[in-house]
Amino acid sequence: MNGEPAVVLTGVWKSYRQRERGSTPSEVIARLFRPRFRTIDALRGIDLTIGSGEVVAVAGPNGAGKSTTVKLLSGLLAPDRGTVRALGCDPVRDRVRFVARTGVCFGQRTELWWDHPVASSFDWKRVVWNIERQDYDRSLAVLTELLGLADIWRTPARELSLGQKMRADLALALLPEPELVLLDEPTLGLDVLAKRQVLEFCRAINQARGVTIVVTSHDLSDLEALASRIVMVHKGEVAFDGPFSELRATPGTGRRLRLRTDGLRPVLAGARFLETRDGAHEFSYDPSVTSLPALLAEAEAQVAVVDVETHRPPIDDVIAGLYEQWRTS
Amino acid sequence: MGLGLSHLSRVPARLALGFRMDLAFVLRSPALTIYYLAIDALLIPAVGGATFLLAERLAGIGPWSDWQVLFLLGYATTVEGILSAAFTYNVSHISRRIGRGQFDHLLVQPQPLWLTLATEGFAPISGGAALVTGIAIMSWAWTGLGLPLTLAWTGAFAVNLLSSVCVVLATMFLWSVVAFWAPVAGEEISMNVHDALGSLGTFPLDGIGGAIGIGLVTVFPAGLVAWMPVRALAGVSADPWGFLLTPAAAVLMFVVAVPTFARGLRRYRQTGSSRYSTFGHRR
Repeated sequence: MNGEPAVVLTGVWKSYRQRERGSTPSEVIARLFRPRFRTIDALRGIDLTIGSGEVVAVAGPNGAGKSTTVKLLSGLLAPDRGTVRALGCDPVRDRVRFVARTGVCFGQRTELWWDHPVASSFDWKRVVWNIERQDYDRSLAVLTELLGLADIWRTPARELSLGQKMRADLALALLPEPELVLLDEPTLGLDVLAKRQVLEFCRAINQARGVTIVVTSHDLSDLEALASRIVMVHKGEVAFDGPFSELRATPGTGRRLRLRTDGLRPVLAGARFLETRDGAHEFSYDPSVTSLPALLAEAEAQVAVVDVETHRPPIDDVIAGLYEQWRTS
Repeated sequence: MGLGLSHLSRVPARLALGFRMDLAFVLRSPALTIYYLAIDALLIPAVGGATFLLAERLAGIGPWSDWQVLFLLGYATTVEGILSAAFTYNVSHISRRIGRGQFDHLLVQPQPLWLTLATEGFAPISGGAALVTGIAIMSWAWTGLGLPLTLAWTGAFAVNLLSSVCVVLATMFLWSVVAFWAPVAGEEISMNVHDALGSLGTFPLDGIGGAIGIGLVTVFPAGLVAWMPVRALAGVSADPWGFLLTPAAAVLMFVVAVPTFARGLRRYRQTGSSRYSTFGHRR
């Protein structure tokens, strides 16, 4: 974290009121006269500070409040309680001043002019964002090179693939060289290559210009490579806030041991069996509790070990484990 | 938040941008555009075709001569033409953007909302067919009627025409507010309101009294689209105040529409939208 915070959320509450519909005709009629509502607390008094130049991933299960957080930060939603400050502004009250310094990109929500070539959308952005011609040319040159826009420059938005559209949208969001970039599911639906291009680009602009990036995604393994910090939201509260390494060290997230044996599966007291695939048995263990040599000795006492492999579990598995813990707790 | 009137100076650049983009769009497929414009030019005035044919057959309708009815038809077509040339891309059909969860795209632009709404829908060429047809019909009727081309008449005409556009826009926005609460229904209602204004707007509504008559110049102001202003402009009514009724109604409707829409927008800020249509927010 360096300099003044880019984002400060203090005690932010956001609730939605949902009308409960009847399921039978009599219920439907009864609820016409006596409607029933339930309140869903999307965010429950969240405190969050993001430093200038940080890349922060906001993650959480479906309905945890990720998108609500991004919408609050971009000024599209107002908090019910608490305050949201971003770049020193109230995103709702100071909307015009705030969005001029912010780039917002929602996955599968295109800002491009649908029936016009990509070039026209950039011209539109230059005028509406009041970008000086020399700044526009400089920024566009960088974006064109990093995101490979040359091939799609004259193609109408409606004819672009999902990945091409995402690249163009990302470039459009970054054209005015924003200080804060808010990305909501930017890799949604993208293939491996397009995903990598988008993430590498985000990393490049963060390193080159110190842009603050707040990103939500379900692809946590991708985010791990991009973000320095992860904020996990669960049931509207911050359940974890720290570096990915710290998240991996959370009890229960452990390491993986893969044993190829003469065919038999050893029973290891210090590890939990996960699966057998392609003749190899996979276990999960906590290195702070059980040492690897002890496990190997235990295995070799039972079976002939042919090959050994240890690795960190994919971050998605770590987080899925946490979600499961939260769900059952 | 303020009105951001300092942004007024940016209007010409926005309109020039709209013109440039529209010209490029038209030049990309001229044949298709001509075909599209020709259909627009024929179909939009055709809405009032039946009224005109009746007037021709009966040598007028009530106190209206056939030339006056033609002027009415041209005026209504011009109002529709201005709307499709200056408020396209779902600006006049704002319920679509609200109902489809696409209003967010307007809120992330660094300019006051009024500036976005006033300029983003400017497509004078692709949307201009009805405008050209309307002006042509009005000019023809104007010659037939032998109306004076004085400064006072021209001024009254311009003010009334803009007021009629304002009335239609305000009505559309007022009905579109429903979409903040009921997205799907709001979109449908607003489209029906537009269609009903378009078809009822081409009728000489004289003789319709009582609640319906009052309703047609207040709650559902189809009478202000063309009937009321053309009564004064084409000499159907000799009431000297007739020229002022539509502008006064436009101001009143504007005064009602702005806070009502702002109320809906406040709700949008509170609840957002759970729907989203992915095929571009300007279609």
